Amino acid sequence: MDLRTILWIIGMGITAGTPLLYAAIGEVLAERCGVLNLGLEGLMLMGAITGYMFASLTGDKWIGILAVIVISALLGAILALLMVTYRTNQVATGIAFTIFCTGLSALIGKPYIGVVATDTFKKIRMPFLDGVPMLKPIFEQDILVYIAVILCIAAWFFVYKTKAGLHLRAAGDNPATLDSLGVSVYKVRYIYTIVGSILAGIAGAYLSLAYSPSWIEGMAAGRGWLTIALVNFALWKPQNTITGAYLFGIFYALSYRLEAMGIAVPSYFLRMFPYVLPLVILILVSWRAKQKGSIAPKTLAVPYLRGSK
Amino acid sequence: MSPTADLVVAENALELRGITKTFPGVLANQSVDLTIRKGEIHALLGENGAGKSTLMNILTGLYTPDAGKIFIHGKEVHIRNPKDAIASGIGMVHQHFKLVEELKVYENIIIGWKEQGWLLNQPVLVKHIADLSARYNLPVDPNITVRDLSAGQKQRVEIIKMLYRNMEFLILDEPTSVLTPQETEKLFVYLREMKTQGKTVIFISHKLNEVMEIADRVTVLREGRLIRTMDKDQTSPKELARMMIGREMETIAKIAIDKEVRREPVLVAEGLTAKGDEGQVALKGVSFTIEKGEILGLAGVSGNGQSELAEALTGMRPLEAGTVSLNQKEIKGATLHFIQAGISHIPEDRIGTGSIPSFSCIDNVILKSYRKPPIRRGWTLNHRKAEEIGGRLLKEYDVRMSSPNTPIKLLSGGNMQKLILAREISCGPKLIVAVHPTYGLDICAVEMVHNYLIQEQKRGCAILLISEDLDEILTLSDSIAVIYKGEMTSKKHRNDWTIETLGCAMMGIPYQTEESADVTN
Amino acid sequence: MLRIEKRQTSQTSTSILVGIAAIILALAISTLVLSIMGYKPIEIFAKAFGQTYLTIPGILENLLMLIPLSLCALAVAVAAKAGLWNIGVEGQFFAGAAAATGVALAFPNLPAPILLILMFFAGAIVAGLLAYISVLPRIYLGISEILTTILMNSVVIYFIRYLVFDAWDDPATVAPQTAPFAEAARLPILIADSRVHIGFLVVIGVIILVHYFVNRTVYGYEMRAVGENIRGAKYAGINIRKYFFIAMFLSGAVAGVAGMMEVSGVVHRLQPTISADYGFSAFVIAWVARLGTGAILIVSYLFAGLLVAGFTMQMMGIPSMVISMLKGLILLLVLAGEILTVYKFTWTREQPQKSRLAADTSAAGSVLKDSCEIPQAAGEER
Repeated sequence: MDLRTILWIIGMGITAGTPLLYAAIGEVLAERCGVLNLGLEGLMLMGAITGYMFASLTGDKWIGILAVIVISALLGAILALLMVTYRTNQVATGIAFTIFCTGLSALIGKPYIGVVATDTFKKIRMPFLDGVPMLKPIFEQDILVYIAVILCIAAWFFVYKTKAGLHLRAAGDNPATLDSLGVSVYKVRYIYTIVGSILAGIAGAYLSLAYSPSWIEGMAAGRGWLTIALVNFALWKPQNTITGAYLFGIFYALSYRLEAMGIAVPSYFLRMFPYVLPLVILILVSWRAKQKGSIAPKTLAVPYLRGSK
Repeated sequence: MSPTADLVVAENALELRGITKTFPGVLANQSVDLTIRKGEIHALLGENGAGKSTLMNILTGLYTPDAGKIFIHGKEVHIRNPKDAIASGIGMVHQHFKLVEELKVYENIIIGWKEQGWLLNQPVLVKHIADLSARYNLPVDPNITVRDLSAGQKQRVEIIKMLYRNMEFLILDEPTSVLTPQETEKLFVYLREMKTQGKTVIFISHKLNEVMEIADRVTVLREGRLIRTMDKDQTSPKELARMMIGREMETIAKIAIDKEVRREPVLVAEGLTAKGDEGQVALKGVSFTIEKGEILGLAGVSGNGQSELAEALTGMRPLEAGTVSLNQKEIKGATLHFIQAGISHIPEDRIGTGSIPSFSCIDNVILKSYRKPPIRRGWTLNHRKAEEIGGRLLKEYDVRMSSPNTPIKLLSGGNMQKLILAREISCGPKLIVAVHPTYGLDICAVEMVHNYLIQEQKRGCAILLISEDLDEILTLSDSIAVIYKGEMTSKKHRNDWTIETLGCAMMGIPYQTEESADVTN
Repeated sequence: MLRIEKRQTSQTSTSILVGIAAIILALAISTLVLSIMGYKPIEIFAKAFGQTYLTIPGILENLLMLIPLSLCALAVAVAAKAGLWNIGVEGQFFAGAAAATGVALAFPNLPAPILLILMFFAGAIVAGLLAYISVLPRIYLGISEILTTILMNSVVIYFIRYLVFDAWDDPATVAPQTAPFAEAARLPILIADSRVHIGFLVVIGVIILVHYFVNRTVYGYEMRAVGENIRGAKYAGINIRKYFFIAMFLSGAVAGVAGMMEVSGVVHRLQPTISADYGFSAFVIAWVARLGTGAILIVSYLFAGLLVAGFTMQMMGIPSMVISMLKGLILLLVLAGEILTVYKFTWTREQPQKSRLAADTSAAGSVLKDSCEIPQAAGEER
């Protein structure tokens, strides 16, 4: 494999990792405040179809993104209502929600199969890269890739350097304390469940408007679940999501590239890469982290009720 | 104390009128009228379950009362949630600290503080807090992660948190329960300091001597009712005790076991080394023996390796090094081996460790005896026998429940503990590891637990009693040892200890003088 | 004001009512969605469900569909009894099917009973091991089994594709599938003139066995203890890893048997389409049935009808994905309705009634004597 191929794989990995990055930033926020949102896969599908539908109806991709934000916020509010207010089992709720959204997105999306959206996200040409064509595949990305990087940095700053971020961390590790100090745990958890849902929706829209501009039933293809693994890999730190997302993205790129290079392994096994390698990486990371004790938010997936222990 | 302070009818800073609060089936507070004066230290005295905590949780907005009114400086206030309480200047230091262990001290102090801007400016905040801690003489380093602090330091963080918010009323719930005697003395100094700076302190306790030492006025609660409020100077410990319990106190008939009977070591622990949940070394080569019919009391501030020691002795935590032998036979491996060797365990967390919460009382009481016939029949569980045997045990130990099939999680703490005792004692153990066995129980239940332990001691059982309550350790133990940072002192007869020497050992410092017993960081 | 109290015990009757209400509400919402999208759902629903639930052929199809569904739901429930989330039932179903297919293709000349038994155990063991592997990271490293089981699904699906497109592809047909099984590798039909095979009896047998195992045996008692409180179980001397192994292996094995019976009893060859999303359907069924073994049979029948009706609807022009939406919706509503079974809602006047208080006082006095930590005890357990 020559350098050009490696750079191509990295560049492709960044593109493939971007939807994971969006979703992971959101999920880190949600899990840090104690909400395990397993509805990501469903939210991504709904984001993908909403974005695609509105972008092709209006001919403007940004209206598509706006619609995704609105719809995902609504779906996130429903999830929060169930998991925070009704204190339903978060695992069951997330999976049920994903099943629901899989059906709903396919239903809504039926007329859009094969429809071509006119306005999608294209790679931005970087004139200054003309001198270094080798770096082109890495830095010539669409605008959403750059926004994701900025979001990741912003999330790190937000979580560790702001008052709201402090409350977010406290809500996940010790909600009773936060509550006794006059900050509503419910409010905090609602906000980040909704924010997480919006980011998952944008991740979906990235798939249908940038990554492979089209609508295909079930096009999230397990990326929602991968995101959950990614958050675990990132040890619930927003700044780590970017490494994980691009790494997982490179696994996608590898599985395509190796296939194109015509190596002797049947392509079905290469296609397992994006699912198997993250697990392997996660196992290695957990092996090391195990020495230090648990790093997960203390009340992850535990509903809060005032006055309970 | 200035003599005039008591003569002037001080302003009623805080007034509760007719506070009533019920929980399903339980009347926690019944028409309580409480008056707190400005700048006093007011003790709220009562047994566990007397309704003190409920009353204070109403003041801090965690519970809403069914009836009653709250006045601050003569004006009615509505406290519907913690936010309202904070706005009214009421702050509470809970018995279980409301601190986020994973966060830094300064972060904990500013959580939820309204005037904090959206951006956290660490150097400025740290300086602010350092100034405040200097002003009230409460030393603490704002940059440390709370998990690494001792209980006494955490309590100081809690107090600073309230001072930082400029709270007028400071409620302390059983503040001395986690402190060494010396730390308690220091706390009293802080409290008096705060009083001189104009704060009003409500001090919740069930310990008479402390109340007599620190309070200006005392209110006694019993069974959810306010019995009386009086000046400390006009009452005596004896009178308070009578009001608190509703009858004369009985002293536990502690029978000294004939020394000659013992002398036969039951438990020999050698060089126990184990890691804690966070991966830190929690036990560092702990060695000791317990003889037949001996109660060894293990004192220490919680978090110094007690839980890990209890788990290591009962097979729940793997040992990095060291051996546990019972009657000269080494036990290792699975928890089951420890159970089968005759070690019983009364765990500190009744619901989280000592029971299967959603299982019925029957299924819980057989949780260790189901492996043997007649409850076990081949592959199957003989439910009829289980009900018969379990039911008999529940009756014998006077466990009160609506039916033997009630899930254990619906039982009160006292009944839950009776059920656990029934299970752990009925198997005729050679060693009982009892961890905070009376924690959170009311006085009747405490007495009952103590009596069962003494009864087992008479039978010849060796008992390791791990407790934070020094009074409990001193009443029950034959010999006492102290654990500090995973290391254990050698055990000594209980008469060879004094409160002072115990306190020093609990802080890991050699006993010398008052001055050197200082615990600044 | 609205008073919310926790019930002492959750009531079965309320649970059933909530379930029925959830199904009706889910249908109503689906109707609304479909109407907005320009379909005519009411008549199509009526026709499809009428055909499925009220005609003999429909009922027979339901029974056929019930076989894999109930077994997969049982697989979810068995793992859940030990506190584990097996979201990989879909993959284990395929693994069982593939293993059985492998045996069927390798030994086409064995006599029927021996071949079928071999296929049965091959399916059960391979799927059981797959499930077991998925729980190892949980046992040793604390990685959630939700992740491992769900990601394993994708792995198995690609492996199945490899088998049907490549390794075992039947050159005689264009479709990705293996060659048809020999007669000996096909499960006998149970009900004449239908496709319902004797797998139905296996379902009944497995349900009875699982129920007996979980509720009557010492192992079941220990496994439930592990599922309810890991720390408590450890305290009682129960070997947690052993029960994670047993539960997960059993769970996978049951799903594998479902897969084996689907290829051996219905399709008679391995195809990548043998599962109509049984894995997630099973998850929904198990949770709607609240993990009750008997209830799973009933709920499975209802959902089998739903899936069968889905095929009919597809022919009438409504996308079959509406069924997926319906399934998710039903579970979401059941979960939301759970609050009704756990809590009691009563309207009271502004002030609490004096009489109630007075009546409580005497009782409370006695309770207080032997109760401790009143606020906690009376507060919520979780």
